[in-house]
Amino acid sequence: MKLTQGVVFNRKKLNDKTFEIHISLTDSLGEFRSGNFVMLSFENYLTPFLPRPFSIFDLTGNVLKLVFRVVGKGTELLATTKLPFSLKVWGVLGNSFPNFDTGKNVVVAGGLGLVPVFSLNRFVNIERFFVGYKNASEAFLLKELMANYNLTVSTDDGSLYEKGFITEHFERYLMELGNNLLNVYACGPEPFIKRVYEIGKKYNLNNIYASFETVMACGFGVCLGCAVETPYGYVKICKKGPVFNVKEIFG
Amino acid sequence: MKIKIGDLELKNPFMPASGTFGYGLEYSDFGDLSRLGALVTKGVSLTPRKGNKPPRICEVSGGMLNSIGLENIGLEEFKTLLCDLKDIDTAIVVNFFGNTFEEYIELAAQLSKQPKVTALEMNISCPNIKQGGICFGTDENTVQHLVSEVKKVSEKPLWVKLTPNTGDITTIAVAAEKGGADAVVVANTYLGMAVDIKQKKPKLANIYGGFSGPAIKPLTMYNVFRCVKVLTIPVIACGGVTALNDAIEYLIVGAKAIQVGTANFTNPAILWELIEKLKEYLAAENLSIDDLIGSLKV
Repeated sequence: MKLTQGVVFNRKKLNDKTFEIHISLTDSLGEFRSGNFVMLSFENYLTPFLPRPFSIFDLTGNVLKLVFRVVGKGTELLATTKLPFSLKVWGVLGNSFPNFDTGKNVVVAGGLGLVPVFSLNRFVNIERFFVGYKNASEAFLLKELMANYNLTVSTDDGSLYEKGFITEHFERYLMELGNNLLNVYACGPEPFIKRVYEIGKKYNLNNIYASFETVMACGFGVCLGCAVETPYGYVKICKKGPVFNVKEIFG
Repeated sequence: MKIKIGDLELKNPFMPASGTFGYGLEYSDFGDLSRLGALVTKGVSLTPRKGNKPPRICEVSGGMLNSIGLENIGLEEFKTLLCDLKDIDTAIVVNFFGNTFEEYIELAAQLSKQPKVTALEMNISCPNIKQGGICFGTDENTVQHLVSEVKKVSEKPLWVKLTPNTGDITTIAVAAEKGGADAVVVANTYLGMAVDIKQKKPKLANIYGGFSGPAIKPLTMYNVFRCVKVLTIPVIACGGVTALNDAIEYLIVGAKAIQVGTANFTNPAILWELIEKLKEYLAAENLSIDDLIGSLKV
């Protein structure tokens, strides 16, 4: 784990509320694997005050790339502050998605949840990639996904590609496959991950790994603020995760 | 930049506030722990505590609320962990708390026997479960009695961390001094609350929590000022320090040392930066730290 200074020098708008930023780091943070995250802290700001966790979209040499959706004051600043501007950055934090010796690997991502799983094919062989968006205007990174993955895309309202929740398309795929030799990498809002977990239960899938998010103040296990309640007690997302076998979280 | 808290000499006035720095080693990637004035460890209780239901933290303007619920590993595991700090060449100050007199006394007795422990910091912001849950730190007689009983069993210096959530903090500070405290830490967090207006629910599962961060600095500054006036023992300031000027203000008001809390989250290297910046400031102003401490003109 390293702390360094970052300068945001490039920003691309991927859709109405989603942005990609490029940050030049004074010191390299080392290497990352899909699932790892960093903390960003705005210096000398009273609001937002606490640092924010972000999944690593890419980290090559001294350039860190992040993709985020504007949801509050912190992300609004990242999306609107005049370039260039500086931040404190620390990482690489958390665990990452595991590798498996047997079975096919499949990704199921919902909306912004595709960020931590976007680069998975650098580390593991991905058979199929399912991604779902709310509607056509909320889609992003589609071209890049298509170039890299055997992709199934759906929108909840059918405004782009297949209609319906991507989890339904994933379930259909499972039915057709007819066996449970499948490893699943999932990320999306918690209800989305829960749905993937339920489908997995129905088809006896043991290896469903998902990246979870919650509010955190430090990112490295000190503040104890990121605890979530599970059937096995409180679990710290930052330190033990953010990637968990979904059974560890839902039971 | 050496300072003295009673008989205890510290390398410099900067140390973390308990609960924001883990057990210390978590921050070793950000700086050399031996360079800190002291290392104050996360509050320890007799038995492990699993903490409060989440959500446990939320951001507010200029700070945060927390209701971690004093989650900790408990005394036995803590003793093992102390071995990992064996190479840290600075004062190790162990924060501890109980829910009964007996727990406080047992903890102090056992902790003070640990060779690696330099001093004890007693958190008195906890409910006394034998007295209907009233906070130990809000009653002067309780505080004086508790401090004097703990002093009887402790061979190490005892710092008492005061709660600001009381009628008159100076009354409690004086009670701690009468009980035999070697120093007081002013102060713990302020009770606060925030509401999610969409869900119409408190943002913390515990409803309320401790308010910390730069927004509380003027409140604690005044409390430090008042405590310094009525005490002969040293006051260690703790509240809202995020920059060198904050620390200098506390020193001018009369604090002998500074605890940095929430700012460790927003800048994990802040303690080391403050040590360097204070050194530069003193050199530039041609001052010693003793010239600065208590130099307030009123």
